[in-house]
Amino acid sequence: MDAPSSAIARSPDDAEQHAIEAAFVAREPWAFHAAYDSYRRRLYGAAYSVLQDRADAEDCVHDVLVRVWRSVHAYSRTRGSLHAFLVVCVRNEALSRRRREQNRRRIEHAQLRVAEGVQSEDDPAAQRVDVQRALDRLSVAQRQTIALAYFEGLTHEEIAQRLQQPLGTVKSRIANALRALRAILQERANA
Amino acid sequence: MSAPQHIDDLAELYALGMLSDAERDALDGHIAACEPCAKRVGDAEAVVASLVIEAEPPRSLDARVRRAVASRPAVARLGPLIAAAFILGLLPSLWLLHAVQVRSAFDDDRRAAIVAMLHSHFTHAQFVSIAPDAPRAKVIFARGGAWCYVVAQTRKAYRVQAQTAGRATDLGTLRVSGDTAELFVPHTDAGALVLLDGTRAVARAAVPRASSR
Repeated sequence: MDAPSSAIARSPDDAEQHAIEAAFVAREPWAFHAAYDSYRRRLYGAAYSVLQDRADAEDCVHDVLVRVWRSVHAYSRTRGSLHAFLVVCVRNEALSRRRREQNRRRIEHAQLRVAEGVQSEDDPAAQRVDVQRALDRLSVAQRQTIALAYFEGLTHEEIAQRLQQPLGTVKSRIANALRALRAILQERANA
Repeated sequence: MSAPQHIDDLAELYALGMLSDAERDALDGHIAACEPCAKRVGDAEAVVASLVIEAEPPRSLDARVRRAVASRPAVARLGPLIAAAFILGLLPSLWLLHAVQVRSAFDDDRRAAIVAMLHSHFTHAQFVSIAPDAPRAKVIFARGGAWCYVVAQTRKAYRVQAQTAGRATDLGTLRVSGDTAELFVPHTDAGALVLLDGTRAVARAAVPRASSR
């Protein structure tokens, strides 16, 4: 038998996600609520890490979810997981809002930080350690690139300026760093 | 920016939120029609999503999101249609009423399935292959076994049969969607589900016993 695709259940959770994704595409309202229940903390975390404001993060998550649900073709299962799609939608919207408002302040120590007063049932410290371990396996240049692109949320033009590198070089470096991180995460998932 | 032929490194930049609105729109248009590029973007999105640290949202967000997409009963959705039909004199015959009743019954079933799936714990069963070319497949039951979702790793449609002692009931055919095929269906008192390739059984899963809440 061939190796299973990501769509096939490798765990009960995967099977549930698969059911939710299928129903989400079919516009079943229960799937919207099930997806929110499953991803709410990730979605809020994605928005909050960029905006650093509870009310702004709340508005961002709400607006993105409503927009995605009303846009018939926003999500396709050929793309991959609904969870990752929604997280990226929320994060991109948060970045856009921050940029639009010219709020360019750096997120000091934003790397892997959860704000004070934000409670989480899971252990965020354990999550941080997991992510940090994966990042530690990148080269210094790759880690620097991910830090600027993800944790500081800079544009590729800003990164090129910061590193004094041509734009094309920076784009390739960002893509290669993310692919390297993906390989590390896959390797750990399969271990 | 026109839609790119190959998205190349843009997949990662897209997932990291580094593209301009125009670039993102162009990429959205492209990946809507290009499966390999859509998958590549999805792979990059999965990596970015893995970097996110969870945080508990305020209760006000939960309430707003739940209000934003509320499930409306089928009859409520059909209300305006019925009113318009009266006004236009398009409801002289009973066929439309019959259609509404059928639709309502169907939606009642769907709602029952939705409630069962959403508010119960899922239970799972793996199909056991009984043929060398059987697909990898799984069946997910709402607790109590009243509703099930069958999913298989295959581009081929298989029929699903529910079996009880001495009796077999056809539940329908797996609907192919990309690399998988699936069926979401109500069923009752089956002892087992069987995947049929034509008339040949290729895989079988036992139905978990109903559990009390």
